[in-house]
Amino acid sequence: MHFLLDELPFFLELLVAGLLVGMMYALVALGFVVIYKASQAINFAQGEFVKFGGFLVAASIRYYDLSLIPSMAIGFGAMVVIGLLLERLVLRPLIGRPVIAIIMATIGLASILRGVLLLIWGPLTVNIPLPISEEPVEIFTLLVKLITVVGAIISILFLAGFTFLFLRSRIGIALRAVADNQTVAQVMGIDVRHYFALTWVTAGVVATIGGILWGNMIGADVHPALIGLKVFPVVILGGLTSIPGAILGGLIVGAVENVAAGYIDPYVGGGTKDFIPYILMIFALMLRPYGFFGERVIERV
Amino acid sequence: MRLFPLPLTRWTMVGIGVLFFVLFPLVANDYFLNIGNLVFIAVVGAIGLNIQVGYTGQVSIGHGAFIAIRDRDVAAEIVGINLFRYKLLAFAVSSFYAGMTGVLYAYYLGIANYEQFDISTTVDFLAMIIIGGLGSILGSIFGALFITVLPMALRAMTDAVGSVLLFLFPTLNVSYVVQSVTSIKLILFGMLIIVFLIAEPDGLNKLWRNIRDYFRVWPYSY
Repeated sequence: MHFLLDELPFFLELLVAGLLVGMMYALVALGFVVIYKASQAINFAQGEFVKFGGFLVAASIRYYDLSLIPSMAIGFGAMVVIGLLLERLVLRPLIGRPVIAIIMATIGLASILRGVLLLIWGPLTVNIPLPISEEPVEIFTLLVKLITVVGAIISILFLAGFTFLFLRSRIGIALRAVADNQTVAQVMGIDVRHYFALTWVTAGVVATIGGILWGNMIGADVHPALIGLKVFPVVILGGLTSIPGAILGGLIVGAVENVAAGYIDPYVGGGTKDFIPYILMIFALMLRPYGFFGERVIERV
Repeated sequence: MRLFPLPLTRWTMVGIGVLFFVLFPLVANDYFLNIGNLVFIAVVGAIGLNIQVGYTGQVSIGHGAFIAIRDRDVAAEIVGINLFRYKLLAFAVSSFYAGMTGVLYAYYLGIANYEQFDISTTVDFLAMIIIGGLGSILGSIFGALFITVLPMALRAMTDAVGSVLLFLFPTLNVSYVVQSVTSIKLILFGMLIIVFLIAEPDGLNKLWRNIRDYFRVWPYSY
């Protein structure tokens, strides 16, 4: 028992740091879930969205000497424009085609976004300086980085706001109608294309928030982002169509990977964070293929 | 709800398979390896032949099952096709081809390194089959040719354009233009995937068939 008590602060520290990072995973996963709910499309470009938004902000600060607020405006504005263009140029011609076509289009989109970043700004890592101190803060005797706390608070605020919007407002009702049955929604006078565009804009905006936070923590660069792939364990754990599921999945993935990294990394020399979420995902798929809150699909022939 | 998605017999088979792979290196001497190789070659030959026959239009249960599953898997299962078996078979065959590609590629390069096969390799191959045409062997050949030649053509083009630009504007930084081939390749990949998905879902294979059909009746087309 003594051994366990000695371990407790270390364990709690890992757990809290993991949960805080997990809130940010949940935020990025929200964009993914919203798109999947509305159009059953799996967005493989979510990681590139995170990178693109983050890197735009970083590049505006670093290369064009803008201050933080205008560069953030540029980042969000660009992602909104990209979301709208994407709906108009790529997804609208693909309406009515199999879902796999939309998925492949997002893979092509990811490739384009990466190429554009590489072409214009080169392969360097750029840090985003936020006015948040680097010093760790002490919460209930636990030391945590301030940026993760700020990130988690922003994520919670955004998630709460979005949930409220989704459940209470006109837009939310229309979104849920589109998610439930596109044809009926269209018959009831909802402009489905408009709401598809809205889901992609939402994905772009949450990705930019994630990109800015990550850009401050580990620097923004153009290399294939692990965060884009980490969205998959998060959403599969929670269920692809569920927003609470995305939040729970994000918390679980963040906590598990951080605790596992804290205990296993000293023996194997790092890299635990990169594979633990996927092991979790495989177990989730074996034991509960629809996720915690996912809808069980009954197929009729 | 069942705890495991598979019935017990399947797990036994999986267990035996894993056991085989664990034990095989321990008992492997020349004799066992020879027999193993022969069996393996025969199995591969048989599978390959089956698929080959299926694709050339002869009667083949396997090929029909693949197409039925692709078109509607629930309906295929009701007709009596063993979904698990054929999906596993498809994965096994394509893994075999992927493995062969890896072997040939490593032999061609002279070195093998796990870092050169990341997720972008998958995207490259995906681009190949979309541009070539999904679900057709000829299409994958076209697509592979196209995607492999594309960066080389791009490189030659940027070299040519770069030298012309340098002749016209001697102050230009041409090395930057030549360096950006990788990123232009990425952008072109993405755009080609999207353009083919929107404009020509059947890919280069369809274009090829159009050309062939045109020339089949060429002087008397109406």
